[in-house]
Amino acid sequence: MSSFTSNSKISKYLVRVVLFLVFIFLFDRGLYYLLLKAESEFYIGNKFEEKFSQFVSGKDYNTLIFGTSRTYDGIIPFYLQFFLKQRIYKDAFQGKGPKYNYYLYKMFKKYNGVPKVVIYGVDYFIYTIKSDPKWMSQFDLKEEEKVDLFSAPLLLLKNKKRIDNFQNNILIRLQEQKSKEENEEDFKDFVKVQEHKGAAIANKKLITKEPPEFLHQDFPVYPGEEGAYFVKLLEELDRDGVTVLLIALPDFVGSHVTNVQLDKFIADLEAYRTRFKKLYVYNFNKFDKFPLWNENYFNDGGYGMTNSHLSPEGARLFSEMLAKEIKKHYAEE
Amino acid sequence: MLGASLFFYGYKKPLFLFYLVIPVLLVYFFGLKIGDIPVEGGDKKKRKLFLLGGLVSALSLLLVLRYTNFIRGMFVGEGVKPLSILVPLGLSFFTFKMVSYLVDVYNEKMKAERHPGYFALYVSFFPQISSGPIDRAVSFIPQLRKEVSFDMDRVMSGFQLVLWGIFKKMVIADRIAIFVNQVFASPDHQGLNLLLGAYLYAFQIYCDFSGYTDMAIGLSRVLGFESMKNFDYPYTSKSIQQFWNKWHISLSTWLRDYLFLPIAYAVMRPIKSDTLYKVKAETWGYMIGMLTTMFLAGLWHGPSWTFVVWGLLHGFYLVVGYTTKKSRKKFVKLIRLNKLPRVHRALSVFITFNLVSIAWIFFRSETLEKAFTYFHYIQLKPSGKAVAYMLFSIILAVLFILLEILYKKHDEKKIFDRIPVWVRIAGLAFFICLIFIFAVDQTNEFIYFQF
Repeated sequence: MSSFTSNSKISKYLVRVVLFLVFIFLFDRGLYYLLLKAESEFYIGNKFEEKFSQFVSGKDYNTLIFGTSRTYDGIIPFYLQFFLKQRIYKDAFQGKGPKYNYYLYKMFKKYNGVPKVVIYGVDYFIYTIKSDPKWMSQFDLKEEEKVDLFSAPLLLLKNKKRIDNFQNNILIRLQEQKSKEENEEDFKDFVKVQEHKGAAIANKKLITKEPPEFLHQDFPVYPGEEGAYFVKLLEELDRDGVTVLLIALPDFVGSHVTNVQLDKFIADLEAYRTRFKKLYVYNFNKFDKFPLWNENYFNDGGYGMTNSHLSPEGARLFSEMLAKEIKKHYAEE
Repeated sequence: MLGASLFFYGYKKPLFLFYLVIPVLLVYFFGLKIGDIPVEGGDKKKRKLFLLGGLVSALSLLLVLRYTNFIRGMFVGEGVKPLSILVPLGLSFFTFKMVSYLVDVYNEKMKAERHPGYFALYVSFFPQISSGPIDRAVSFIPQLRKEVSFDMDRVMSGFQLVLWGIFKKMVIADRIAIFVNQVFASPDHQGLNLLLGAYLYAFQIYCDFSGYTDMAIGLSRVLGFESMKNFDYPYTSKSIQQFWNKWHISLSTWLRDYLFLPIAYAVMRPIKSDTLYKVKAETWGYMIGMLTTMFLAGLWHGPSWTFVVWGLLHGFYLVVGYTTKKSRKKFVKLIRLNKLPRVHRALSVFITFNLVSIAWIFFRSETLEKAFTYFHYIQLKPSGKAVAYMLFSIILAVLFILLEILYKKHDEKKIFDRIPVWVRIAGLAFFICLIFIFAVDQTNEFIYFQF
């Protein structure tokens, strides 16, 4: 009798556990699907192309800078314009990965024409970057995103970063609408990127003391998230006869040590040289090239941190060094 | 279980185990010694000496590791670089557990625990060690001796409490923290945001700390142990006194039993007549006992003047509340507020919440100067800064209040139990998915871990 009771109890519990798992599966997929729908609706209709065409119209830029937040903080158009006397357009920001760069280049070409030089700030984590849907929505791609229902046990958790970005972008847009009412400034993003002269010192966060244990980050394997778009972009630039400069920006010493396969990273970039004749690699992430130990030149980074950004002071020094190195490419025919 | 607790405590920094194990062994030894001497006919002096030895063993690490820099700073000056001292996790919490154990054994509220494993587990029990609740040995150790069998309802109930705690911490507290941190970081020209920031911080700290407590109590329940309640809807309190009966209950009752009452009696004892300087001996006891207790409660939270002022401010509230009780009653009658009990109650809750929020500004600020700057800039004029984050935080706070009311109803009338099981399971799954969506990814550390 008691074994019968305990057996029936166990099966009752099992049914509940199975039911719970089924509900989790259904809600996870259902809510993720709804979020994707909401996200695509949210990003539609920002009239980027129109604004972009007006912004670049008549400026005849001959240099285009790509990259993520590291390039945003590290390569300053103001200094390059000053040292190189060239017309420079920069589009580097957090969440702007190879896929974004590929489509931006197409649009750039359409309204500005082919640039002479593309400076690409390449990150150690280039193959793990996924372009933010916020930026991708600038191109009317009409890509139907395929959701693989079985790609992970929990899609909401797997895409947590993306969901958080979406929520933040909603808040940012609400906030910007409020400030727009106040100062009615348009093309804010473009101007902001061009005029940016380095990260705020108030946000300085350096780990200077080496802990006994810290993360050691391997170089991610190609193609990763958007590596294929990186190659597609290089191919297109090659066809257009554009000089491409792949720049490895300096890391603060702790981050330099954290990213343990920097040699592999540089070798990977060098390998592109064999395929594209007007492609050059500049590695500034070396102690003999840049003072990686100098705390004044960095805003964040350190032991266990894979990402590191130059401070305004570091960016000024770096941009000057970069200008000296790449000057020769403008003399080439 | 003891192995798991010690592993949890020491796996990141094995040195922490040393800080835990040494005082545990000493307190265990002194506890036995106290217990071996009977109160009637025993050597009272020796008993007292063992109690003192135990208290020194329990408290010395806390005093040395946490307050050396604070005391040094008072004498040497603030410009001097503080000494680099590593304070082990939950030091204040397990120290208080050991003190209560020693005093309870001394007062014969319980027998000394003879099994070193049970005693060590009581002190180091992993769900409670970092931020409490500060369970009493008299109620916790007997549970360790009971055989625990698997009970699905108990496990489910514990699991639900853990989830509720995660929701409070990761969805409500951490999201509100984004706005609150920004307001406290640069209070100048924030206007109305400062007022809202103070109110929202009240919600943040409540959701953060009670969220942790719910996780700890829930996890203990899953393992078969019942911990004491630590929060009882504190922001519904009608007075500061009631607030302290509902906020961090395990600490407030600890302070009452082991600090306030002994101090109050010690103050009253030498007063021969009923009054001294026309003030009742009882009132003297209350005033001195309460101010000293709240001063120490502030200091317990951290070696900083902001915590001291926070504690003293609460002490002041409590003393004023106590000494004006009769006149306030008369005043309520005079303006006939007693005829409108609901309005009276709402007004009392509103005033209490505001008093608590004012004190939280000191608690949250890094320095006293920053706290006063915060007060200086408070305005009713909106600043237009971080409006979206502010509105989102308010929505979260309102959502939390509604959910808390629902949870309270369930606590009292078990309303969820009337819902069919499959609907409850679906609701639970949906709630978990909502946590996945809205939880903040880069979690702030629990505020009370630092204490």
